[in-house]
Amino acid sequence: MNARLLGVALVLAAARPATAVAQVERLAGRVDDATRAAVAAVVDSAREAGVPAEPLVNKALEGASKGADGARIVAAVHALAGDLGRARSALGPGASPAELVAGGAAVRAGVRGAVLEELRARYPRESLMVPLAVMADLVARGVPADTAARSVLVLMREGVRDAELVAFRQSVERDIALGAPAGGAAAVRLDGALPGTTSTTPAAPRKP
Amino acid sequence: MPRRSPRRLLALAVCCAAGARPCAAQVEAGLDAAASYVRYEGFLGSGAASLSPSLAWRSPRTTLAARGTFLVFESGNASLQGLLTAGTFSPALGPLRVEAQAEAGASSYVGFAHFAHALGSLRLHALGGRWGAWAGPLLGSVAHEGSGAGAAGVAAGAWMRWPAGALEVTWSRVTVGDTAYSDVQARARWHAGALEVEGTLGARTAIPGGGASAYGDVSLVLGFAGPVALIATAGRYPGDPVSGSIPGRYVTAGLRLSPRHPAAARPTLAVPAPVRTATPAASGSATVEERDGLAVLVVTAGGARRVELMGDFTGWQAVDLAPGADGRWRYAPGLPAGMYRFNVRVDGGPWAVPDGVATAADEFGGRVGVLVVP
Repeated sequence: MNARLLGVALVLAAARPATAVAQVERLAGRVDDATRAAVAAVVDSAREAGVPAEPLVNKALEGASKGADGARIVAAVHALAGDLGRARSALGPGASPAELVAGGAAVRAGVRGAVLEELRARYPRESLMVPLAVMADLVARGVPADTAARSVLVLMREGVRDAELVAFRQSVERDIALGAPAGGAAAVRLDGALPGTTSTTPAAPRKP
Repeated sequence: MPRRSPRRLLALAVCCAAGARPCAAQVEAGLDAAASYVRYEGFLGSGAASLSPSLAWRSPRTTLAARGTFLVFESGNASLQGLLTAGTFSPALGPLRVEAQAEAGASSYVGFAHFAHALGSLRLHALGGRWGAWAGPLLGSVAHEGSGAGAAGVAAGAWMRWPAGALEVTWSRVTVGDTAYSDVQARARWHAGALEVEGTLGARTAIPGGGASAYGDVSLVLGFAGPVALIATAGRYPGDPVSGSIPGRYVTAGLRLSPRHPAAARPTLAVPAPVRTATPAASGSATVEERDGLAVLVVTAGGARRVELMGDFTGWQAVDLAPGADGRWRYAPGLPAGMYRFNVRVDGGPWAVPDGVATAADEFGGRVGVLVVP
């Protein structure tokens, strides 16, 4: 039995580089050879840090489809590898690729690695993809990173999970769209979203 | 000339009345019945009852609309108003479109005064996915008790919209005869479920002969029983040398009967609000449906002939979405849980982010939609 498990592990270990190679092969015909080689180098380096190849190659493909030059593509891939690496360090080796992508987006938005570590420590068995994605989006909409992180942490501590987190994000988005300060919108909606506090009656439209 | 069978015509009419997507055009009709209190400036206040029918035909690029109001005051005097509008957009020229508008209206305060006007305008629109800006001239004529005057002006505006609301800011300067005035106006709209709230705040700047004032209103529409909705509005409107209305304050509450969209038009009283032509969506809106445990991305782009998608899940290769029987466009392969980036292109326009999804900078100088499938 143990020998069988060892065999499976060896096969998986051997397959990992092949997967990365297959990912890089997706760039064939989409970017020039020099860009492809540079991206492959970033992918190899990132893979050693436990970062999956697919989001990196997707970033390069996105750049290629949008007509970016090779240098800009490589810079974007390199920056993403850094974000994913920091997310990987904070979320631990068990983090799923989806969590890493969301975590990388949160890190890019300005959420501190310590927040990701706290989330993982509190919820070691739950997928953190949605909480991290909500954090990243709130910051992208102008909510200070610490406020966004605190909001998600407080809500999760109160038992709020994915669907309610998405609804919370949407409420904040609406408030901001109608003129509320981003940080204030998050704070007000946080109060309204917490169980047992004020109702979630929609805010009256603010005068622009 | 081929004749259409009555059954086919009936099916077409039902299809359009129901707002079914396969129809390129839609017909909307409504009737407001309301009670009001209005106080025209310089006059005593009065109660009033009103009936306001409306009818609009909309195709992806063209809108024809008619609206009327019959108002009976406490004194027994009556007011009758009518407005016809038409607007059409040119095909997209990159991010630009040209809109031609025309309107004709008449009002009669029985035994008191009669007005009529006709205006035409051109607007050049610059359209993004969730924003737009426009500017253009207007020209027309105004008639009052048999005497006429020319009307001319320029107007400009900008708007942004979100899944649950929109904000528009406009500026206009209009000269009617020897009266000139400028208006700056902001309008915000928000809706959630059956409730729609709209607020307007405006200021008329002091120009010789035009007067100065601030004005605004708040309107609520709450659908509560099928095609029936409660309507309420209150505010102050300025005088309008084009339509001949005098400034006043008012409060109105009533019912709206509208088979399709109870909240499609705001309640009106003495001064019919301008009937606005639909703003063409540059990239549609996106939602997610669940099918067999997977998320299916659905794009709604009214009147579109082609909708393309590219994203993480297509290897950033453009793929054509398939139109469904409901007129919406779907990316048939479902998406498992994950965080995806994507862009949408409608009718060969620019790659953009549809309404309804989060956006982020794409590191390549543009924006990308971010879809999270829990």
